[in-house]
Amino acid sequence: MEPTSIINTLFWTVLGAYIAGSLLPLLAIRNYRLGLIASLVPCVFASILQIIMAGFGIIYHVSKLPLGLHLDWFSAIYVIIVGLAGLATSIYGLEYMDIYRGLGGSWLYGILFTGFTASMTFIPLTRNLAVLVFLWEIMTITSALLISWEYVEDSVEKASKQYMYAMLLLSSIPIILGACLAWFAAGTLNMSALSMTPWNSSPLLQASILLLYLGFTAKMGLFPLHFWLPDAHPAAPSNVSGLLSGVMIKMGVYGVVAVVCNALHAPTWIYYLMLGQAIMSIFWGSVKALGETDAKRLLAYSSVSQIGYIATPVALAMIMGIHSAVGELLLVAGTFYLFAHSLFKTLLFLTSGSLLYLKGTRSLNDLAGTARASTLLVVAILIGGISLAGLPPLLGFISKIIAYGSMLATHSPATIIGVVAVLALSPLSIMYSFKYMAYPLMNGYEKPEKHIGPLMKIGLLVPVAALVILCFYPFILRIFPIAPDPLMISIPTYTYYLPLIVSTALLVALLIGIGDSGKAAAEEGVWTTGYRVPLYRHRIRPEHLYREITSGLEPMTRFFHEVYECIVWWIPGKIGSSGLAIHVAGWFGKLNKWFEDKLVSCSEKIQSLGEYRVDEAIGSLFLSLYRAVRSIVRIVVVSPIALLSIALFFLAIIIIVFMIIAGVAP
Amino acid sequence: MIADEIVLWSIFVAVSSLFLAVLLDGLRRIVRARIQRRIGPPLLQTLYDLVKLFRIPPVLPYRDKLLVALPYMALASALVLSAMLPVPYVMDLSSGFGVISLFYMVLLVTCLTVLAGLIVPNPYSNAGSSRELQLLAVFEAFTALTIVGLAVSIGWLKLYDLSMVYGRLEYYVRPSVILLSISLLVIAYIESGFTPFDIGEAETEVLGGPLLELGGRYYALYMMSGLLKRYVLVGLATSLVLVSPIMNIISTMISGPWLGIVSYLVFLGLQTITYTLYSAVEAMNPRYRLDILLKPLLTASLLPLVAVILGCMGW
Repeated sequence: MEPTSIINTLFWTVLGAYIAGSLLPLLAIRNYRLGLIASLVPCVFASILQIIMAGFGIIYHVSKLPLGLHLDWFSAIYVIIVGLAGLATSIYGLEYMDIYRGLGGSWLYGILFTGFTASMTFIPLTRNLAVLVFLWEIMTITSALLISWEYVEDSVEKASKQYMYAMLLLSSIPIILGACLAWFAAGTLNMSALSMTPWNSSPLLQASILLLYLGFTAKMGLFPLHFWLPDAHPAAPSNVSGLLSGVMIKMGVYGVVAVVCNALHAPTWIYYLMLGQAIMSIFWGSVKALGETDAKRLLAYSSVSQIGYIATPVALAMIMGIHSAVGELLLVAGTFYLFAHSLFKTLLFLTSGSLLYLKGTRSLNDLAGTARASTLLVVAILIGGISLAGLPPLLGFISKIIAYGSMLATHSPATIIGVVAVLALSPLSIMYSFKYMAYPLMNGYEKPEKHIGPLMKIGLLVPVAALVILCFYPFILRIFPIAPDPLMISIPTYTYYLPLIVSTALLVALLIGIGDSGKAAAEEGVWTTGYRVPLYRHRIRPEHLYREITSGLEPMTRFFHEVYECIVWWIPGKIGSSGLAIHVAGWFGKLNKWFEDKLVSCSEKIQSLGEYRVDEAIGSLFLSLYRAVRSIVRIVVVSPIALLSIALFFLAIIIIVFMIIAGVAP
Repeated sequence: MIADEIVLWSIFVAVSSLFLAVLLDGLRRIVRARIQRRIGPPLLQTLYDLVKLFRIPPVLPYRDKLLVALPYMALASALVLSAMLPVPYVMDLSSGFGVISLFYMVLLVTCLTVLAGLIVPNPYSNAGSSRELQLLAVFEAFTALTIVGLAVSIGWLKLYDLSMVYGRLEYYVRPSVILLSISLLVIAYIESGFTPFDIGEAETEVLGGPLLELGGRYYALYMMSGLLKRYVLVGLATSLVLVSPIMNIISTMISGPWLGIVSYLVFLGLQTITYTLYSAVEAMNPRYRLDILLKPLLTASLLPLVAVILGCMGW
């Protein structure tokens, strides 16, 4: 068979699997587990096939896909990232979602999860801005609903509201308006055709560039548009958090590179702005992560910091010109980091999910010793944490070395500022990753009674295996089109051998250590200077671990906190307390109350009749739909701003669909 | 592939560095004692300590494979690190790796030590690890600026090439390179934990240090990895700042395979002198609290910053 026909077959199979994943759960509405299986198993299938498809595409240089889609090395890396993260999170979710059984509606979760993964797979493949915006909105809506999955918790409801506000006002609406303005200015939404139009040919196009840049960087969570991220990512179920931090925020990077830079040729000052935002993200995300005591929030802040590490070489690539030799090298370095971060961040969120599953808490202090319940969990935390720290020999280190090397390939002021910032701030990532690792890995505590099941273990094993294989055999990464000449100047020849040498040395040492562990006299307990205190007090509390640094930065963190509180809560709060909002909220509250009363009375009547559960009696489909609608309305119907945003959003979707149908956006 | 002779020589360098690091630590203790008007221990005292520690049956707070494996892993990383030490005309792993990789290996050795202190539920060892990490984080700006300065002023980041060209007259006397030389000597002093920068360890205090809960051979393994790390950091500064210019002069007089041997001997001689000087400085220094040291360390970053600016201007 020809490579093209193989890839076409794979493409249709992937698409078919995603469609099956969206429809099959409808046949399993009454059964929670079957609902999960019906959606997540096709997702697993699709994820594996899309990795093969993208790999084939790179090896055989096939760029054209059916439905007018395109595959180049940049989009292929994204397809692989979504595939790997989707594979791990889907398998993991099959078992992990049991802790949300009480909420029901697994079929709806399955559809949303499939839609979320599928939209992220196809965004990098399209060359039409209208289609991209359409898929972008599917990604945003599905992610918002997945974040609000546990809406009964007040913190989740608050985080979901904040995410909805932020995404509607800072991402969805700017992107939709930006696309509309680009169409008005250039008469096309095809990215290749758009790239023929100079950015300064029309004020509309300039406005479009600004709006699209705003929309994409808000999705990336780049400083100062990151405020939603530390609340939203931890609020979602952990396997979804893995996808949000591991993949979704990187879609913003794709948008900036493919649309703002490659298609619209934005002016250079925008990339300098992005560089500044990226450096601030590294600093701010790291500082906030150091002070965190919640395991998932710590990881979320680390995502803010890590997206800065990704955006720095990417911004520099765009400053240098992404088609120049140095620019291409920097873009490869950024994409490489993005690939590495996707793997280890997905893994770390899955480990945090496992800790939550075992202990029922996200507080690092209460998680002391929890990881000791499973050897695989200990290994996963170590591998994920050391990768996040960027220490040899794991993928985080290789990606950092390549980023430094590519930035030092030229000595322009921008690259020097970039590399100094990234190098100088990198120990902060060691500090927060060690904080995340230290508490769950502490020894001496009782192991939790619960165990993580086989499917969760397989889910953890996927990124662990990928990270370990790549550290022993990093030459696989030569699929990246690294420009050889400048690379040789700044990245020494054997860089790829160092992980191999170090990992071999560490493995030998580990085996010797494990062999030696039985010979030590033990069980003496820790030395507490003779003072008898309970074991839970034998440690520094997480909030005090880096006290000298965090207290030194306290005035700065307090200032920013107050500014954010004002922007995020005070202003919408003032609008939300206006007459119309109170009226609408009151009306909704009455309706909800009436509906719930009806449900309760109905269930009481049915329960009095026999042993039927209320779900079965009135139909799970109806009840779950009601829950979904209620969660959406509870999140958005609190202020006129949100209502206005929703109205604009649907209007724009209609305009874009109309444009696609009318053929004006080929 | 990496050539066989480089691999063999790297193994030789790693093993010999271990013995030399132990001997030089003995020298450090003697110098410190003499300055403090004490007789001090014999030169091989560190070796006797290590032998004794290996003989003592180790006691651990809890049975833990990870805690036992960490010292072995730290020593393995330190051995790889020592094979990366660049000496002009001596081909080891430094011929293939860059200065950034070397500093990351230093970080790995430190972090494997710190991790052992963090996974034990003892507030004293937790505090030791925390202090070690905080000191590292604050000082990293200095190291980062020095590395960038090397890239800007010299243009080479590959370790071996750097050791070959650093001492050339056209580079060595530039104002930026003079500042970088001072920075490299400062980095060697601070990152290898000479007093008062041994805050994490705080060896004279009754309580403290990440290794508090480790005894016997596990402590000895960590001690060896710490000594190797110090040997490499001091060796890097010695090699670039002192050996490189001297070998540039010697290479005009002799050539051939002897050059490598002469270079290594010159390196060993100068390394001993650097250790002696550092020990003398150490003996005259008091200990400081962490919060007092953080600000001056940040301010010190101005030195390599000026070097980077001068380097960008071609000076």
